[in-house]
Amino acid sequence: MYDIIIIGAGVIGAFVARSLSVYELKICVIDKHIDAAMGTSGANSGIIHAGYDAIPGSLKASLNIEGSRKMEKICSDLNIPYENCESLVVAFSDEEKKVLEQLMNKGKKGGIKGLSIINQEEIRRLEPNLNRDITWALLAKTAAIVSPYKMTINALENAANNGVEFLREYEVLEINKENDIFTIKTNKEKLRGKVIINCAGVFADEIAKMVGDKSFKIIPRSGEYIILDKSVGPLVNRVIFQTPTKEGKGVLITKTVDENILIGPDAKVISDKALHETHSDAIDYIYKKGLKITDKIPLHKSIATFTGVRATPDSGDFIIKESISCKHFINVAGMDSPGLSSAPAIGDYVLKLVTPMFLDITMKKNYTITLPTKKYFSNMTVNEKKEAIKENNQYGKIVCRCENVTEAEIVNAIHMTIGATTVDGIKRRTRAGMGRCQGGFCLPQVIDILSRELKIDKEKIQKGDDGSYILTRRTRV
Amino acid sequence: MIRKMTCIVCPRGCEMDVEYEKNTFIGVLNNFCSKGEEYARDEIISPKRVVTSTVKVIGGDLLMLPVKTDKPVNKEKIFDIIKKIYQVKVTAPIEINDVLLSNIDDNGANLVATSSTINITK
Amino acid sequence: MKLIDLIIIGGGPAGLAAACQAKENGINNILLLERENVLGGILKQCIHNGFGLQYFQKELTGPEYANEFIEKIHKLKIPYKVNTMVLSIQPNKTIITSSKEEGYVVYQAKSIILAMGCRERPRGAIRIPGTNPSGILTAGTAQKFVNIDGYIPGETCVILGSGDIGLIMARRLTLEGVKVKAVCEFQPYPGGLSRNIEQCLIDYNIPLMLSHTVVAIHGKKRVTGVTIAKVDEHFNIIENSKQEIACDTLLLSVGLIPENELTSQMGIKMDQVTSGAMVNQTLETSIKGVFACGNVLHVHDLVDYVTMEGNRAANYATTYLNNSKNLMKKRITVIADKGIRYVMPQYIDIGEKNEKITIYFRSKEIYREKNTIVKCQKKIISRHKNLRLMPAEMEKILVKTEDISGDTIYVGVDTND
Repeated sequence: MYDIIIIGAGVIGAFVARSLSVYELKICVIDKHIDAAMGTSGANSGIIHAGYDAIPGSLKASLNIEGSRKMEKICSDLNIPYENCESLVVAFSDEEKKVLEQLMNKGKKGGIKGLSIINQEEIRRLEPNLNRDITWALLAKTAAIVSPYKMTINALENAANNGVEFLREYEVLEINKENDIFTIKTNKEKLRGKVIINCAGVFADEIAKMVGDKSFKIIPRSGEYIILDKSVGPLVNRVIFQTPTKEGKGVLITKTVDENILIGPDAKVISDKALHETHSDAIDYIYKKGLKITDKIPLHKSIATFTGVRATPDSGDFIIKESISCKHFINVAGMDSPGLSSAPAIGDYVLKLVTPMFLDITMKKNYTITLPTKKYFSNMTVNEKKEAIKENNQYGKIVCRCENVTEAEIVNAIHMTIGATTVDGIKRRTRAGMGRCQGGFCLPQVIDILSRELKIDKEKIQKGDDGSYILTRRTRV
Repeated sequence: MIRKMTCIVCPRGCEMDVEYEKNTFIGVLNNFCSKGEEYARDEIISPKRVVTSTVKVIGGDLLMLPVKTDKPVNKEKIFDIIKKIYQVKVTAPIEINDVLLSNIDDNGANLVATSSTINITK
Repeated sequence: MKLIDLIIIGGGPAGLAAACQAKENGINNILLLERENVLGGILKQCIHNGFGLQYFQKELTGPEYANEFIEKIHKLKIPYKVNTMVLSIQPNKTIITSSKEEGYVVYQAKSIILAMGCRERPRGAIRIPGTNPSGILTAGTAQKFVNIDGYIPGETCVILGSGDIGLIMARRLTLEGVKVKAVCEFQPYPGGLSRNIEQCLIDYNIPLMLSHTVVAIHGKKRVTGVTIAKVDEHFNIIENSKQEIACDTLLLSVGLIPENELTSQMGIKMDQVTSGAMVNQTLETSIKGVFACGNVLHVHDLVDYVTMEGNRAANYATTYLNNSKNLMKKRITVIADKGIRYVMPQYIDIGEKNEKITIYFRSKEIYREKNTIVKCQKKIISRHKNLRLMPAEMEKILVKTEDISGDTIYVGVDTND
């Protein structure tokens, strides 16, 4: 019997789990996928917004601003790649400048520091590659970038280190409630719990329906992206947005914490929430829209394209409250942008909702809010590298040549509390396979290491979810 | 009859015109060297290929040992030969050019190792 | 820090040839660095025959070809280190390496030969639309799985790209019981050698679909199929030609890219078309004493040519180390002109002595019975008749330094005749 069952191991579920994990509560996070961050959290732009977009007074506005303020400390505590790289919203006319001013005023009212409108000369100085017809820009000094999957995985790792269980490949089929106890029927065993927190992302409305809550609907909107190789260099140094229109924030160009360039997204309402598909017309569209920001995009240096699906709520704002139709069932839903930026603040917000549901809850005697500092080998100084190899010679073996990921890092990723069990799990934890050859060289080695460390046959190694096997059989028996 | 034929003997890949009657070779045009004529003749009378594959190694530093037929074999026999190769298992050490299966095509071609492998269990 | 006269980075065909040649030239203080556990590079997984006809005048398989050099490395007692990764090279030729056995080791080289080879272009480089399931891999990765590790990556397969590795894998997988349904090629002509079309596809009745590409990948977990379509002469997709092929695997053979992270990180000037370093006729990069050869410089058709380039790089490095260089008087830029995709070398350094220089090039499209010409200041200084010029085949043309005037020469296809 669990005190709390959190459905969904995305960034929201992970941070809710982390916030709750310091209390004497029996908690599990369940996910239908084989790993954390397999939905929206694993496929987005990784931007920590300053917080001027949302309507003042909305949950989105307050949680974004609070999340953004907490982010640097949290990323440092949890070993999450983070860079306070700032952002620009660019305008092509005085008409658009007015929109920038509105955004700035909105932000200032919300208490966001470091907002200013800069002129062409200043834009040129900060971002020499931007097109000459950009006349004004809103500079937001507090905007930042993170690794969104690392953020999710590391927050959940922290929660798991505090005793939260992570149950993978548990798909919720049915939820029943009797005598104030929930029973969740899954594809595996039944789980019983006192409180359910619904962090199921694009599927949150379907989960809510299982307890009779039809109060909201999630409209899945896909967004496609192009990733350019590191060798492109600093095409942009900041997150570059275009002036928002009725259709939304539009196509942006940003660098990533891994020093790639990311272009996207478009926005399209889709029918199949689980189908993450790219389309040539969408890729053409974002490329063309990206060219409006800078005409220097070297498309031939693309290394990957991907699609993420936003969990847009029909209500507009985040939905974070106990269900009106089911007591002790808390919806944390509708987390489209700025969900990632808000995640840490959402964790604490949910904590305040949940704690009154338990009498006399106490904090654990031993808990941690940090993960041990572990630098990527490629980011270590010379002395750190020497020391690392001396201590563990697996640091001397480079497995992923593009990202310089060592065998030690891959082994560590497998043996962490919420360890990687798949090729994509390794990739999200270590970056192995994320470089310009996209695993061409390291895939066979990653499979060898997974097979060795997990003691399973190579044919059983999956890319991601069960069924995504990579090898079918041995050539000779 | 004239048949267009791409010579496979070397990377030049001559596009030859080969004249033949049923299974009788008559002549060849547009070949750069005499190997082309030889190849064209074989292609008309009885096409031949070198077969390469791998066999399982026990105790070697290689998991799979690369192998080949030491001369071209009849094209129709390729799949029969592959089936025989599937059955071969060798124990390290093996030296390059070691004969692993003699007369694999019943026509004098042997299966030979194309790499050495040392024994790592000793 | 260890001082070494010549460090060769990469123990594949280019590096092996360079090491042997340099040693034979009398350079004794050599070190060959290889990141994998054995020497031989990609040749180890190329178990098929067809190598060596040009260089050894006999037909060898990949492992046999590599063995010829590995034996020589041992016979000549050339020092080498396997399982050793070069992390970075500084412009002053300091080389930083790491390995499990020795940890973090720094070398100072007097001269360097870059021979790191190339890698395959992944799906993302050509942005094939669709889902992101397992079962999409490059032909070379599949080749490693099958030939080295002994595993099959799928049972029904479509191959995109008719590069040689793709063709070789079509045959290899067929012989392992995999159904290869089609090889699609975006261009109207094949990317690989004609002999491989013949012996890998035609021999096994595998359809080659020219002017076809993959327009969508299907399957949420594992590939369940691909949609292919015909493209017109402007490479636009012909909508009504779309057809779905059920398969569990898509292999890509859509080009190779020289692996030049170390090169560009050390500040060497790069050629945007070859993705390799820009070099002069001595294969010397923009940093003195640093030479490049093999597929890291530009992608070759045949390993035999890689070997020959490795030998040349060793000879030029020897000249450099012996201080017997032809003193440079003037630098000439070589430009790829009409119909030519790239040239190598990109520079000719004219010294006191006259030289005959071979310029290697690839054409942009297929030409038949055309002359390749080299012009400077509107004068034709060299002419070579080609029966056929194909992008898939590297060609060469000779120029004499005494014929060159001005500071630029142009290599082009003479489309007038």
